[in-house]
Amino acid sequence: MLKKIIPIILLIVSFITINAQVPKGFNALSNETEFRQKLVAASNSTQSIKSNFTQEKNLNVLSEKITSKGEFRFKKQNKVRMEYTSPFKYLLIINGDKITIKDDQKTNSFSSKSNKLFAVINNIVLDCVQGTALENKDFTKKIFKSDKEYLLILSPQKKELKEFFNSINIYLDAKDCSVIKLDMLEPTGDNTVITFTNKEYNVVIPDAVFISN
Amino acid sequence: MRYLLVISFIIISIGCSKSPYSSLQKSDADKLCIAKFKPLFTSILYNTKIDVVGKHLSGLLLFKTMPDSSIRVVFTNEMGAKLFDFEYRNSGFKSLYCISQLNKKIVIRQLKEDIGYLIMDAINFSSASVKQNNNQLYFEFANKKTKTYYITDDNCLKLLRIENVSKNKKKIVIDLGDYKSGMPDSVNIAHQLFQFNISLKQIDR
Repeated sequence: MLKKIIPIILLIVSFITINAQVPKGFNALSNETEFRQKLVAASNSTQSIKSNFTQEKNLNVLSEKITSKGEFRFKKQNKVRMEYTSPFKYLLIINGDKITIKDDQKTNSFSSKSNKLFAVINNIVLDCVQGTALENKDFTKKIFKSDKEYLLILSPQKKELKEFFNSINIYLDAKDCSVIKLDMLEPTGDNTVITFTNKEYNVVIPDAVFISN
Repeated sequence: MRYLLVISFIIISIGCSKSPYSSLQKSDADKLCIAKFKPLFTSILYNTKIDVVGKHLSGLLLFKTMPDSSIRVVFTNEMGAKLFDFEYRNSGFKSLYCISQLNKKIVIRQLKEDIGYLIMDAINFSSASVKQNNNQLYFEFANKKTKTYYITDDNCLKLLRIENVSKNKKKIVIDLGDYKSGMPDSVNIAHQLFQFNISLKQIDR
């Protein structure tokens, strides 16, 4: 009797495990080539992005949410400006390998190579907007699809990245592969969601925007 | 021989220098009056700047009182990365999370103490001895190695600053702004013996 039950239990457990890996509302992607083509096409046609963003830091054990807002700018190649405007002022500029951060007191500039966390954020942001996330060798990738969105789950491979992230989940618009939101899940159960809104593409953004005064 | 004279002079000078606390006079003010300044809050967020030996970093410091009355203090950078998560409860202090770059005994001990002074962690108010000087009341709490003074105006209506003292020399001076939502609106923690400064400003949410 037991011999008959065990395989059934194992089957149920494996079914649950497989389903647990697929986020709710999403299915495993059947045609990865089509997704890759869309991503490349979107990247090729995007010279610049201007949008607003809302960041929600969820400290889940504490039942606390810290919400901040700001403006996002991207320009090819490798130029990103994230300017937090509320409830605090903070500026992050990525210009190639150079990262500049400015709070209301001081400006610090350094190479992304000298700061692992900023290097990761630098690469993720650029990978998202430049459509190169699938090429990033620091992560294993899983792709899912719903009616309206693709979900790209990046799981870090390196120990120093695992300290910060369990996974980085990128939600992309199924129509044009533009980034809707990033969800960065931490090993402690906390997460940070950055949602992009009011997106404008290929507007003129002067290079000076990516230089801190 | 010349060096010996110079060193001796320095040692004698330090030894004879007058402690800023030697002129404090005993006061009859109510020692329990200081207890009303113990921060009482649900959740407070501070914009935070830290300057330590030439390095500057900024972020957000969250103070939260949990349902079991323990206090959690969480520091994140502006982009959401958590840097440390400390727990203060009656039974003791715990570092629940700390990124590897900060996870050094001496760093955690210093941060624990600095934040502990601010939230008046583990203070037995009835053990205070009250002194006065220049229209200010000094509520003195002594432990084995240091003394901590909570300094108010002469009517004990406003907590002005906190000073931690070792061998009559100031180690830490914490300047406090007016209370808002149960905690000081602004805080400046200045270490006197090495360059380490933490400044906090409450964020309206």
